[in-house]
Amino acid sequence: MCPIKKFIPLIFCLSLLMGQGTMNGFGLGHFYENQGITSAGNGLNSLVPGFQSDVSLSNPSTWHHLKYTHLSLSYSGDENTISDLPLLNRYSGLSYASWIVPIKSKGSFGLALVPYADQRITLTDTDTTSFIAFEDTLSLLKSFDRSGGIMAFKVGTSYLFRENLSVGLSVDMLFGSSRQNESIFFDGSSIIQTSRTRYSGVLAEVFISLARQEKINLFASVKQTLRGLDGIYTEKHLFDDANGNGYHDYGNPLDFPLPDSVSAKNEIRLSGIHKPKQFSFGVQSKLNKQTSISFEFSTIKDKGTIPSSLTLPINNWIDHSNDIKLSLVRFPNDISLDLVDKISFRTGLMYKSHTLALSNAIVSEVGGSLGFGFKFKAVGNQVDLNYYLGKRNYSDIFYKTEIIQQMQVGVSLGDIWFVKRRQK
Amino acid sequence: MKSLFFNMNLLGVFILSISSWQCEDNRIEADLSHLLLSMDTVSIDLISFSSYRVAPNLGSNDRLYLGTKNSLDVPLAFIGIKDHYYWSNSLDSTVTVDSLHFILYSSDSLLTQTSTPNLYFNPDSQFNESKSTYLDFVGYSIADWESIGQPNVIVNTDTSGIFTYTELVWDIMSIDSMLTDTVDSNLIRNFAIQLNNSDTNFIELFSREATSGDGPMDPKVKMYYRQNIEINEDSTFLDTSNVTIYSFGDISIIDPGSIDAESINLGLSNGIGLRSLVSISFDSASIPEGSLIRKALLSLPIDTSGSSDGYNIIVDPIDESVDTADVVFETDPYLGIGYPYRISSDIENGMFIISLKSFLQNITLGNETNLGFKVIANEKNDPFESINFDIENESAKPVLKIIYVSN
Repeated sequence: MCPIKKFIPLIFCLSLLMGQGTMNGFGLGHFYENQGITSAGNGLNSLVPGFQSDVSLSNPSTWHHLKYTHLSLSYSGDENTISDLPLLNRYSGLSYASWIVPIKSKGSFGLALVPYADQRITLTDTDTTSFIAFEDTLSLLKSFDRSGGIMAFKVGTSYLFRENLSVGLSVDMLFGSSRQNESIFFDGSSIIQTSRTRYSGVLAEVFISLARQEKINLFASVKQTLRGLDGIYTEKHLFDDANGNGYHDYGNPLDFPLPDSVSAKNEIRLSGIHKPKQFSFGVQSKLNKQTSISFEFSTIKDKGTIPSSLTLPINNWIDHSNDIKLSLVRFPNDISLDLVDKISFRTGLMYKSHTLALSNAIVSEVGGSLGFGFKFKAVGNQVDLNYYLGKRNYSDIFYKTEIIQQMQVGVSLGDIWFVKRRQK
Repeated sequence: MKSLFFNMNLLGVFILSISSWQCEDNRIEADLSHLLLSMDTVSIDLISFSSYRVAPNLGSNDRLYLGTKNSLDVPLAFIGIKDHYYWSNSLDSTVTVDSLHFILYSSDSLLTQTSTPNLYFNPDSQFNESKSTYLDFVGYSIADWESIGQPNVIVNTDTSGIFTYTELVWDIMSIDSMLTDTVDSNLIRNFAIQLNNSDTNFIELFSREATSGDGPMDPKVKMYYRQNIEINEDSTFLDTSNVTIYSFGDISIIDPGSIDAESINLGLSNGIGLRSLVSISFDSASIPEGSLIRKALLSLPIDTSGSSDGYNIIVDPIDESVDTADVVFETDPYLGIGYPYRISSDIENGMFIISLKSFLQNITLGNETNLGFKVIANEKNDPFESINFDIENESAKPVLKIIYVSN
C-alpha cells in the first residue's frame, strides 16, 4: 500500500489545475455525470457492470461481487475544442476515488469521492459596447470568471437479499464552493464584482440488481434529493482592480476602494438550487462467460430553482437530461495464464440530450468510448485506460459544435482488509 | 521486493501519463448581456460657495518677502538659527573663529546692496513659524534689537558665466558674544530683516522651504575657524575648517490691511488669508447602493482676469461642522480631514478640476460624512496673487460629474 500513499497527494494536487468547458457555464456547472466516462474502470457504463464481471464501481448493488477490498483511483484529462472559433481548452483532475469493502459476498460497504459539478469557466462577452460618459466615449467589455465546483462524498452499501436480487444504497453528501468574478473592463482597468458561494446538500440513490435469467441482468436506480443543494452566497463590494490581478488587495497600484474600507455584505441562503430526481435503467446480456453487451437509459430532472441573485456565467441551466448508452465489454479470464486473457476491453456509444430551462434549447451529445484494462495478481489489481470522443451540439449558442476528448487512467488495487494475519 | 518493484513501475507509468497532459485555458466568448454590472453617470450642479478670511501665515512659503506688493505689506521677516555645539567654538581656547556670516539667497541677478534689507538680532523667542500672523505683531518694534546693517551682495555665475544665484552675506562676528551667550539659558538665535534704507520697496528671498532638507539656498550661518589639535606633547596640528548652521524656522509677516467682511470675494489668497467653503449636494443615496465610483470630477470655473494657470488649490473635506455665521477669523475654525482625502490640483485654462472619487466613495460606504469641503490656496503659491471663482459663468457652471458602475 506504500505507493498508493505516495501518489494520492500528487493526484489531489494535479486536480487543482484550471480548465473549463462550455457546459461548465450552465447553471451550477458541468455535472460530472454528463462528462463522458465516469471512471476509467467503468467505461461508459454506470449501472451495468464494466469494472469487473458483475461489478460496477458506480453501482453499489453490485459491490458484494468483489472478492477483495478495492481502492480505485481514476484520473481524467479532458479536451474541449470549439471548432468554429477555433478555441481549445484542456484540463485534468481526479475523476474518481473509491474504497469498497465486500462483506462475505453478502453485502458491501464503500466510500467514494467524486467530482459532482465542475464550475470552472472564463467567459468574455461577444461584443464590446460603447458608453458615452459626459464628453468621453468608453468601450466596455464584460467578462465572467468562475472557479471551484461541487464534490460528492458517497457512502454506499449493498445487501444480497436473494441469489438473484441485491439492493444498494448510496448517500451522496455534496459540498464545495465557488468564486465568481463578474467584471466590466473600460478605461484601462476592470471593475470587478466578486462573490462566493458555499454549497451543501444530500442526495440518496437506491439501486436494484436483478438476474432474470442466467444471461440477462437487470439494473435500476432512483436518485432522490434528501436535502436540496443549498448555497450560502456572499457578495463583496465592487472594486476597481487597478493592479489587474483579479483580487481586491493592496498591490501596486492600489485597488479602489481599499480593501479595509469596505465591509462584508450579509450572507444570503439560496435554498434548493439543485434538486435532482433521476431514474436509470440498465440491462446486460452476457454473450458468453467473458463478453456482454448492455443498454442503459437514464433520465434526470432538476427541480431546483436558481434565484436571480446568483449570477450564472451563461444565463441558462439544464432542466432535464436523457441519455442512452450501448456498450460491449469483454472481461478478463481470471483463471487463464494467457496474457491476452488478462486484458479487458470496453467500448460503447452514447447519446445525451439536455434541455435548457429558460430557452428549451437542446444540447445534444453523441460519443463513443474505447478502453482497455489489465488485470494482474490474484487479488484482482487492475490498470485501466479509457478514451472518449464526443461531439456536442448547441442550438442557441453562437458557435454550434464542441468536440470533447477525454482520456482516463485508472488504477485499482485489491487487498484483504480487516483480516488478522498470522505472524511469520 | 518483486511486488514493490512492479508497483513502483506502475506508479511511474501512471504519473507519466497524467503529467504529460498539458492544461490550456482559453477564454470562451459568450453572450453576457444578462450580467447586471452596468455603467451610469450622474451630474450634480447643486453646489454652493462661501468664503471666509483668516489671519494669513506664510510660514510654509518657500520665499521670504519684504516690502509692498499688490497693496499687501510685509514689514518684517524672521529667521531663527538652530542651536549647535559649534556655537561653543568661540569659548574653546583651542579654537579661533575667523569669520561668522549670516547668509540669505535670492534669484534676483540685479540685486544691489542698496536694495537689500537690514539685519537684526535678538536672543529671545519672537515667532512661531506655523502660527505667527500679523495680529501677533501689531505695534511691534525691533528698535531694541541689535542692528547688523546691510549685507554684502555676491552675484554668482556658473563656469559659462550664466547667473546662478545671489548671496546676501552679513558679517555677524560683531555679535558672536551674543550668539554664544552662556548666561542666557534660553538663548534663541533670532534674526529679523527689514527694508529700511533700501532703494526698492519689495524684495524676495529664498526661505528654508525653497529646498528640501538643509538645502544650498536655505538661510544659514557659516563659521570659519582654526583649531589647534594636540598630537603629542611636542607637536600640535592646526586644522582649518568651517561649519554651516541652518535655520529652524523662518516667516514673513504679511499685513492684509483692513478687512471688510461684507466685501469678501468668493476666492482664494494666501496673502489676505482668503479661503472658501464648497458644499456639494451628495450623499450615500446619490448613486445606487453598492455602486463603485470610477470618476468623480469637480469642476470649478475660475475668473481668468485675475488668475493664472498653475495656481495650485487644495481641497480638504471638513472633519467637523462649525456653527458660526462669522466670516473673519484669527485662526481657521474649519478643520480638514487631511490624508488621504486632502488633494490638490492646478488651475488649467480657467478651470479647476479635481477628483473627489475617494472621499465620495467613502461617503457611499458609510465611512465618511459630507460636511462640505475647505478650499484653500497651496502655501507655495505667490501670496500676493489671488483667484476668484466664476460661479456666475453661464457657459461653465460648477459641476460634479460622476461615472459609476453598479450592479
